[in-house]
Amino acid sequence: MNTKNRHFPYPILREYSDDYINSYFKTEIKIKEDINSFIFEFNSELNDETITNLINKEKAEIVYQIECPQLFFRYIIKTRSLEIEFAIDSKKLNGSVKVSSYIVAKDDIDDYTNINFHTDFEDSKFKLFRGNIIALGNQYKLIINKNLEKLSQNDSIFLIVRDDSSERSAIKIDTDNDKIKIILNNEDFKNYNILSKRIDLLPSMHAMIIYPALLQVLEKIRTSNIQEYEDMKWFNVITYIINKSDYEILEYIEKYGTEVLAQKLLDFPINRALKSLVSIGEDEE
Amino acid sequence: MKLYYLTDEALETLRLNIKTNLKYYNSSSNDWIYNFFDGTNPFQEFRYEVNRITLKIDQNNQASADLENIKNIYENLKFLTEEQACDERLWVGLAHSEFWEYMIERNRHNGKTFTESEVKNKFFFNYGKRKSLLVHPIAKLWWTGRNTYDENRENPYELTDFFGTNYYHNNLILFQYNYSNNKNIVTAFIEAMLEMQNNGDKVSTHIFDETAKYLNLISGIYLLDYFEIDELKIKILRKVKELLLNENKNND
Repeated sequence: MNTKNRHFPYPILREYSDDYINSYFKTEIKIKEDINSFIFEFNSELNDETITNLINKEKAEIVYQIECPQLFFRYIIKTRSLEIEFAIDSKKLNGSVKVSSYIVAKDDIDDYTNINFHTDFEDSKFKLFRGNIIALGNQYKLIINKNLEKLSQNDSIFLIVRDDSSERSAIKIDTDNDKIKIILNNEDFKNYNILSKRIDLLPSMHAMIIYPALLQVLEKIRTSNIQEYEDMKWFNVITYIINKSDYEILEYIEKYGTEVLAQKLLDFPINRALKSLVSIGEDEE
Repeated sequence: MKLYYLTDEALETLRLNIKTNLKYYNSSSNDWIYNFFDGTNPFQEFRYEVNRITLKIDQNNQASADLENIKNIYENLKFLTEEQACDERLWVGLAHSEFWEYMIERNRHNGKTFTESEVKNKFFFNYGKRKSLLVHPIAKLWWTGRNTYDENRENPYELTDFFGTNYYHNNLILFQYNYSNNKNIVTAFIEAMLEMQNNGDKVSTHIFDETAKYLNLISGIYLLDYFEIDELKIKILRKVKELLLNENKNND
């Protein structure tokens, strides 16, 4: 549930709202990967005496919600503790995962009031029902991708396919699915198939076909709304690799440019192609 | 029966060349696929083998046939993980292999031939990752089974039976909401609907839609996942009864 712009019929403690003054509820989340599971570490901070007392008297609870819409998975963890660790079977999560934190009324609460209410609600009392949200913590969205591979070793985010409809059409790039499709006409595809069987020509294939495609894709990322691509596996693989350098993808492109990034991601394909062609030439001599 | 899925390359090549291959999507045999790939097998064998699955078509009572198909598919493919079951290559692969005849006959209306956009929408995932699982003719059978199957019931398909009428609509409406990712919430919803039906009340499309919408509305101030199934069912029944009362008043 996205809650940033929602309006509630009673004051709720949350970021971007002045329903409460001088109070906060924040959660930091870390995720570790184990052999068959993801371990979620929740670390919350609650600065509100009234709500803290509700939790201590077991009239309210902290609830963490982990959701993976793509796999129809949603699970909650209820606790009175501000720090908790929980494991989720890794088979339940893949792709986009949302993690939310709440404080929820465990029982009906008559005449709920709080000294930290905004002055607009001063002296107001509210009837809360079991299940009502009292506080909203941070929401996290993360991407879980399994079996990420380096681009230069295995072109798993690229797919080269043929288009039968036209004999002389130009090469096209399609980024609408989990892999970047490089679309060749019949003749080019046949020739690619022949040449790609030769391992000594693979660097040249990277330079001629994969590198220009990747460059075009990075330019698209640079000039479009990247949220369009966040659910695509190819985007998450590229982002994962760049994040290892502590940069976000747009920051990296801004700093170094798309042509440098494309070459780094493919382990300098022009250089490798030239070396391999020289080597082939030497072998033939 | 062996299960086959398409390779990435085969899937994308077929998707790209729907227009070129359109005439073949109206033939009873899928032999053309092997010719299209120049004799190379575009299918990979899935590591598991299952009992033969025959999907039913009944022009007079397709709703009942679909219910049987849901149970047939899910019962035989229950071992799939959710990750495997959301893989387009598997379902598009099955639609182009084992279930080719079913796909052709099931979707052929009044002797009409498939259009390009119909092939794209029915054979492939064309509605986004999640919605496609609810729309694809084979994938949706498994996912409805998975979302409603309950091994703790005497009849583990008791909730599935609710989809015996208005399957396509109800499946899409209920599972479009994020709260349906929590199986307890789905259980509470369907149990409430079944209880009304068993009491002799008709759960119209309007009531179904409005109740699903209502749950989404109250999820703004209630954490729906927090409730036990019976607690949530009481809230849902209250709303359904209110809607039924209004509906009966309007009909008087």
